[in-house]
Amino acid sequence: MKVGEVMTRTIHSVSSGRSVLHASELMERFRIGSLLVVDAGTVTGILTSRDVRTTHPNRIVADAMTADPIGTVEDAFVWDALNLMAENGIERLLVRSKDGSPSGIVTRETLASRIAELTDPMTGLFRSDYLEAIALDLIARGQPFHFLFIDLNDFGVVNKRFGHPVGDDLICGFAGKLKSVFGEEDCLCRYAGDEFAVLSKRPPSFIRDAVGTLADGFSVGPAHVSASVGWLDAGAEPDLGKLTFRELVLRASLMSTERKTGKV
Amino acid sequence: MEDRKNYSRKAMLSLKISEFEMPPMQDLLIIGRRAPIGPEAVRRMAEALSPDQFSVVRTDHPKIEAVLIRTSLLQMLDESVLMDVIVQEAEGSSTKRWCFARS
Repeated sequence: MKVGEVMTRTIHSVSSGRSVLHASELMERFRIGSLLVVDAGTVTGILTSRDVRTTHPNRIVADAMTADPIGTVEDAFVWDALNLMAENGIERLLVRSKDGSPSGIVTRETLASRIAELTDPMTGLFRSDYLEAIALDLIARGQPFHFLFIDLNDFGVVNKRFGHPVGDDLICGFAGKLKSVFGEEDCLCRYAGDEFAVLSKRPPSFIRDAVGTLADGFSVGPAHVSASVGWLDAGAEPDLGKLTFRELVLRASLMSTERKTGKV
Repeated sequence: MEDRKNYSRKAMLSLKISEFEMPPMQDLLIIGRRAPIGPEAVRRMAEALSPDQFSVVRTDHPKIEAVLIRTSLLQMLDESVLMDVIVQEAEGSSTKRWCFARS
């Protein structure tokens, strides 16, 4: 889930005074797409295969590289790293360890393929293991958050009555509604078939409104499903650090069930 | 030893010696976008040959990437005025691959 798990740890480097031709030979020899530019032990830039292709081979690396390369840390989540690349229009990120020294390189391709593994192909929402990783990270750092567990009511009945394709449309439609209510900074997840989960650090007033909106459900033609939402404020937990993901899901899903059965 | 029986080589050596001016440019050097030597390499060369005497000014010009200028010129004239004159002068005759000096 984190950049450190997917990055390439082998770093090859070149000094800024060497020729681009030499750098391209190094890339060829090691079968890599980029080199860190290091002068006197300090990273001064990054040289990519694109830089090499577009620069005269006689030029020095300093005249072809990107100075002060954009980087991330090993602890960054893959999704955040991918967004950073998209914002800056780059294909590679320099990864630094906690002490600030370069520890690897990660490419957009690697991150995209990892994120594809973490994403539900039908809805585009995250799978539960990504949500779990983020929740555990926040718990470990003692950061408060809100956790919602959402269950579509009588989805099985609607599925049987209107057919599975309509059921799929309802699932995708509700996922779209989740995306419209929340945003990039929230972690939206399809937990299982007709169950969803949300992890958000927004204020309680926003969450309260969102719960009401989500409970209304979603319609596709005559087919309609409402939703039961269990809401757990992890920030209100007396001992947040001891909370497990299993406990989080268990309690929020029980709240959702209580709403469904009208006990709340 | 065995190889020498099988082939022989001849070489003609011709030497021409002329004075090399230091530095190899007088007042400025215009660096084309696709010249085989780039602005940073030129800066390092100038710094090695004539420390503290030249500065690199980069441009957004489609053909000209940068100009190495004698620093004393930049103290006499406004940089943008000087660059406009240089660029206009160079535009007519330059290609992206050129790197040439003017004085």
